[in-house]
Amino acid sequence: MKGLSSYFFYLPYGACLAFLLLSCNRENSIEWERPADRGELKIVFQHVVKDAPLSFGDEYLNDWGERYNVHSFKYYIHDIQLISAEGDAVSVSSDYFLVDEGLPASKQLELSAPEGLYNAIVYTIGVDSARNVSGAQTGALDPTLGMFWTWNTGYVMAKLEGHSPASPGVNQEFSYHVGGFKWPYITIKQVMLLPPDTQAFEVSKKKLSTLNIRADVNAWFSYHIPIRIAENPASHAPGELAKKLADNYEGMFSVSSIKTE
Amino acid sequence: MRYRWTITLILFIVTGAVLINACKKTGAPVHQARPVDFVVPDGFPDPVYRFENNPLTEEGFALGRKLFYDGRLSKDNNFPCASCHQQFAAFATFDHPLSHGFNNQFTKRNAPGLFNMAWLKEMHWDGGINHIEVQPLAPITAPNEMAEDIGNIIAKLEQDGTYREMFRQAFGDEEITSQRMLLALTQFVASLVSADSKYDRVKKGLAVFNVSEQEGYRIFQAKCASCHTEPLFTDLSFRNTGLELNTYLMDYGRMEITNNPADSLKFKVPSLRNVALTGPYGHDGRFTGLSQAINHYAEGVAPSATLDPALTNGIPLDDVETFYLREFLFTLTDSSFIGNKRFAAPE
Ligand code: HEC
Ligand code: HEC
Repeated sequence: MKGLSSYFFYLPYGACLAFLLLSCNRENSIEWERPADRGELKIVFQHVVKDAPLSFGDEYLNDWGERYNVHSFKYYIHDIQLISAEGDAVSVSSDYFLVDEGLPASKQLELSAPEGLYNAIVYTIGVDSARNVSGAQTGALDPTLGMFWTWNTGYVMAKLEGHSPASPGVNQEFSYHVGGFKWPYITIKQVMLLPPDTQAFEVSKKKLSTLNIRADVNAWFSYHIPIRIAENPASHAPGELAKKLADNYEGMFSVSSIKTE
Repeated sequence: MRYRWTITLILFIVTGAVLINACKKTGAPVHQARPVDFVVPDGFPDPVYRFENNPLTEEGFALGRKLFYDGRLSKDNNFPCASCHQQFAAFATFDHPLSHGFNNQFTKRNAPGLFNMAWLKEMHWDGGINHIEVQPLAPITAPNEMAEDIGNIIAKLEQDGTYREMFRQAFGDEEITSQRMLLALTQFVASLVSADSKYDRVKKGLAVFNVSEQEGYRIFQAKCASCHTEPLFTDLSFRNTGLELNTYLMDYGRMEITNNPADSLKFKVPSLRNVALTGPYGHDGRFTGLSQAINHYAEGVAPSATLDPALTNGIPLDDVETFYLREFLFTLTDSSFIGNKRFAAPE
């Protein structure tokens, strides 16, 4: 009896200890409840010109018969979501990714998404307006990555540079730095892409799902609005031309295939 | 019996304290940096920049100050921020309409004084910079200013043990990133507060204007304060005050940022604090002296489509009024600011 009662004295102590330990844990973990199972999702960007793979320095033809080559091609992607079979948007990642033809690793995004059946993928091309006005950033948004205007604060959302005999510019260069987050020159674009056969695709923890997304450079010149290098060899500030280029490149993406393995 | 309870209690407190501490350590990294209060002068509005994501500390400020005075932030190591922003000129470029930068080139505009920067929504004469933290990127990368690349600067600073140690003290470890550099510079630049001129002391009842200053203040309030609004002496707007287009520089001001023809030839209303020290005047430094800058309103206002409506007929001023205005503007000089050792080049 005496032995037992002496243990009772430590009861409140034990209870408090347990409570403290738990509350400590709770503070550090993001989700208190068990998170939904996630499966691996890989997004692979394939840069092409019509049906040919993009290769720096090779010559291509746009829809206006202008010959051109490319030496720089990059764009920001963020706020990646999947649309479930029920039509709900499910967030996959709110990170920023700078996809750069010059850095092969940047063309593959290794992500994870909640398990389920999905009908479409949605993401934003560019950098949202809040991030354009919040000062010094880091990571993919580090202003030293060559995607930031220093004299007129703001990110370059997408960049395409090359040479073309059609260009009246210096050294026959053409260079499109597209940005602008303020009305009326907003260039932030959200796209929704459906699978090729519009069949639902699956994300499961037992499999790796890969979405191959094709980006066709020729769309920059002609998807919605005709833009000829001969007339418009350069865009280096927010404005009418940048807006038209964004309206065009918004259409450059399509899902070419989906693999689950 | 009772002493068992005491032991339990002590055990409980000690374990609790240990646990709570352990809990904290797994959160944000603990810096040793010493916090500094950013003091908003009496009568000033809330600052735009509040150090929210950039806590002001002694160590962060010291690092920013060293960077501000360090030539290594420029390509040939000759043009620190301080080469164009000199403390004795309230951090404007003394006696230069335009400033010298890399390779004997001139800047396109007159370097403004740097003080009360934490209250600006937009920086530069055209308001092109929307956040103080990213402002340094403009001079650092401009080919006619410092002409340098941040990557190179980081490489130069990494060579220097003093810097590595200062980054560690300010940010917790030795890593040097563009973000940390910009945050530190901002700690220094945003701390440049000027609010101790004779005018401020008069407002606090610690001094009195003489007769000419008093008369100047009256004229100022009637004719100038609509744009040069107290206590910052700017309403932070962009306006065309009828300075004719400089056909050599072809500077259209605000329109270069907004693309909007309605903004053609509009420039930021500059603060007039310390104005006696920041000459020459105007966005391109076209007015050598203060009298010329003031006379412009009476005699030089050029008509144009975007001219500020308040200036359609200029601002009539006779010589006596101009004299009184100058006397008043001299009371805006803050000698404790330009003499403040905290803002001077580090030893
Ligand atoms: C070559 C001369 C030069 C150098 C070097 C220089 N500046 Fe300036 N600074 C200027 C000029 C000229 C302007 C006005 C620019 C404009 O309005 O387009 C200016 C504007 C500014 C402004 C905005 C002031 C306002 O009222 O809007 C700040 C802040 C500033 N500079 C800080 C810095 C910092 C920090 C550095 C170092 C990283 C630096 N400057 C280096 C010449 C210089
Ligand atoms: C309609 C708005 C407005 C009014 C009213 C006005 N100013 Fe200005 N002031 C400005 C603007 C805008 C500038 C910058 C002009 C430029 O360089 O393009 C300026 C520049 C100045 C400068 C040059 C400062 C510098 O650092 O370069 C002085 C001095 C000055 N004003 C004094 C006065 C005085 C004195 C009055 C009253 C007689 C006055 N202002 C009335 C808008 C105004």
